[in-house]
Amino acid sequence: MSLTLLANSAADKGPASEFLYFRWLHDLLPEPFFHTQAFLLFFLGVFVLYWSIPRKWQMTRIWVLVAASFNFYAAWSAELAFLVTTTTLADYLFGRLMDASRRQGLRKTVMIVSITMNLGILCYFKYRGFFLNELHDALVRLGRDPEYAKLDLKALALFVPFGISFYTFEAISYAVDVYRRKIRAETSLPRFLLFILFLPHLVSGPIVRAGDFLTQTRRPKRWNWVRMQVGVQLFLMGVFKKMAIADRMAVFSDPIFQNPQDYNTGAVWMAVLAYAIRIYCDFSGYSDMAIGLAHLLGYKLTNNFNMPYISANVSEFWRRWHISLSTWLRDYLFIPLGGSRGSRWLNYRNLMITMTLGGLWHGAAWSYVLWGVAHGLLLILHRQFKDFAQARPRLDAALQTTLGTGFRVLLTFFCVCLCWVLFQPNSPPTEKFPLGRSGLEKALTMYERMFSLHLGLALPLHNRSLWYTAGFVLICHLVVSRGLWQRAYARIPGPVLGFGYAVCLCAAMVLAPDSGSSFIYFTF
Amino acid sequence: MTAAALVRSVVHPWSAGRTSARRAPAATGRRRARAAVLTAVVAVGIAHVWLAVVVETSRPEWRDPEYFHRQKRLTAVARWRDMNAPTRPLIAIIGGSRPQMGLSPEGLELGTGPTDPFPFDCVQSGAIPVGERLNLARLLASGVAPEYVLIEVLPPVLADPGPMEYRIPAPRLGYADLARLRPYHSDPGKIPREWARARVKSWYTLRVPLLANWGCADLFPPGPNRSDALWADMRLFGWSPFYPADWPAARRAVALDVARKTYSWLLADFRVTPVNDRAYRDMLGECRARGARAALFLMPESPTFRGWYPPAVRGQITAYLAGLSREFGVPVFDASGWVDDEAAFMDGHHLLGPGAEAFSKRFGRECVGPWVKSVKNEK
Repeated sequence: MSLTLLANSAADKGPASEFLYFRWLHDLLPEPFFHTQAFLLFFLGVFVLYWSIPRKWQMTRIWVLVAASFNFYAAWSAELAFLVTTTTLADYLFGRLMDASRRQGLRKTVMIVSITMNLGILCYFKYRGFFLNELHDALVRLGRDPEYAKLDLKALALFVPFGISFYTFEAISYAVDVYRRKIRAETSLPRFLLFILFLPHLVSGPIVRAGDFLTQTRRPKRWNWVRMQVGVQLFLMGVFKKMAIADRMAVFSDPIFQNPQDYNTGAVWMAVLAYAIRIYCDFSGYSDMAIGLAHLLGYKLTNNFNMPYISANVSEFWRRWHISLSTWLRDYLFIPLGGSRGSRWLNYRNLMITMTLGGLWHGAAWSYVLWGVAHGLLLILHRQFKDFAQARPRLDAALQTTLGTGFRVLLTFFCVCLCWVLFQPNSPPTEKFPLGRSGLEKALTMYERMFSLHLGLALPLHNRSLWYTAGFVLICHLVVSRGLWQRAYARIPGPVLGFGYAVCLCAAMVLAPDSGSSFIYFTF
Repeated sequence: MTAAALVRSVVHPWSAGRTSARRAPAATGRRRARAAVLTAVVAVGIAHVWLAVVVETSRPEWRDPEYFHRQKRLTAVARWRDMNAPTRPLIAIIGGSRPQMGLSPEGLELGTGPTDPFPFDCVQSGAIPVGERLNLARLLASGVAPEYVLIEVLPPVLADPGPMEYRIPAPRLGYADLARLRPYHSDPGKIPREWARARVKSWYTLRVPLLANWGCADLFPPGPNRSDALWADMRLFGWSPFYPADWPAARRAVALDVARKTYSWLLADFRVTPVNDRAYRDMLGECRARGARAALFLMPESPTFRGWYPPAVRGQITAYLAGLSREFGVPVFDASGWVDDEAAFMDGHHLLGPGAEAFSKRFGRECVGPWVKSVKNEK
């Protein structure tokens, strides 16, 4: 396909389907967010239907979940729901083919075809505009005629199937695991469809592994009150994190991240703090909701966050942040590249490649790539410093004391916050910036405002709310990390716990700011 | 567990607890989990029902703080009047943001004698005219019986084509308000449906007024949903003046432009719409039925604002008000041309504090005072 054709093949109609059923579905479920009233009613229907089916009809239950997941996706875009289902069917067939063949060459070819298909679709929808626009600019700079106009990235973004980055990685890991004979290819089509389409993890993960999930689909589900309680608790925790914390912090951070040049230095620093809290509570809140919903349907998804902001170094941060992605990158990219084997330089090279591609995975913009590069550099720096400190026992001992650990936690948090400045998408054109603004441009403006004194607008809201929220998040981290919560939790009577859940939900509803915002990771 | 077993375990929770001693810890865990989940469901339900009942009964200001804080204040004033000065009549001023900012009841200077009236601003921004109708009905239903009712007319809004369903947000309404507003809605089922949906998640839909009432208004950025500035600092008799330290011409010009965009299209093709006509007729009719003396009044407008009226429209408005005046025997106090100083206004039609004081003094002296005196003389 010529560049011109590729550039002009952007869909010319919106995601809404022409079929009456799908339009009705879209009205029923206008947003694919778990904390909306429409979704909760939809989920309640699925939940009741699912548990009404006798346990021995496990396959019927699975079909119910597949149908519900498909409809959930189709409510947003029927065409893309069919696309996801089709690629899933193809992955299923590739898996069966690999399993059926004993010829290693054929197996490898099938795996490569499967990976190419999945990555090809991901690149077409998510990165096409970015790469073509970059190519366009490069050709113009070289004095060549690109023969196509630059693409409207905002319009293209409407047609990116949601969750594509997540389920693409799930499909790739499945193909690789089957090829490595780590798992057998799934023979049941509905089970495989459920693995990819399962609605709690479809939109924004956690990225599940076939080995973990498919095993669960084979076990008939029993109603289990303990599991229900865990599900309810996680879901409510997620709702609170999203509505009461993340959306509230967005009120502080969003206007400043959009127009950093208008604000004073103090406000920009506080916006970075608010953004750090926001992005954590937004994504971990979403993950908690997803894991909670899965529990309510009798499935266990992998934990995605483990208090990342109390990490004492960047390596630990990546063991606690977006765990399902970082372990995926480790298992399917870093280790195949050579991992920590070989020379120090090879090791650093592997780290940089992994983190850079990890950054690009988050979004088609240079700002995300640089965010990955920055984390790669921090990881390298940490490894070097670790070697340096280990060669000096007194320094090492000092760093392990409470004070030393506190200092390392603060330093890690500071570095992570500085990197978050890079973690922002390009802005669409506005009156003030008719050509739009790249995330990188905004990030550079923010760094400039942060590291030199500037006058300007103050925070858009009284900063009391920001400090209270930051304090609350810190206390929660301390209480959990010290084991206080776990000890107390075991002793709390059920009714008191239930009352606490109700308080948590009502508090989330009351503290939700005026305008709720979308999930940050939804766009990935 | 099948659905039947689930129902059994909920209906007879003790049966699920009958386990052998060996399995006791697991059973305890299950019982605890079940108790937690069921308590949560029940508690959330109770919390929502409780809030829905409370905002209907003892705390209506949690759903509509701007009006009900005033009504509560007025009720207290009326109670004090009944105990200490029963011969002093009450003047209820019904209107929108113009009198809210621009008409000071104290500034009317109607005296403090044993038969001098108490004026009170029962006003609410944007409450014109269906909102005025609603607030008058609420006031009369609360048991407060004003002897005089001053009803504001905002001339451009007479031509508002509606639909009126969008003028008052459903979460603000009480159950009784639904019936009060039904005659003015083109789709009578719409607002009750929206209201019911809002009540189902009342902790969410009422979060802004709830937190404002609980002293945490600044958790929300200033915006259209935040009304605390319109009631938190109101004066004793309901007036909410605006005394900015500085109100430069540039800001006035921006605000004036907003006013122009809001009202000039209504004046371009002016026609009194039936729904607004009905609201005024219903208000005047109800005042007459209750034995309260009513008057219509127009607040001052700046020369620029007045310039947006085509000459024929001014005549139409005057003729319409004269018709109402004749039909219901009520006076019309047209103060729209009283203030020629553009700087006295925030945006061409909302008076700033000093302008409001001067206007109120004159309005009391030339309109309200003589009107009350003439009614007294009639009696």
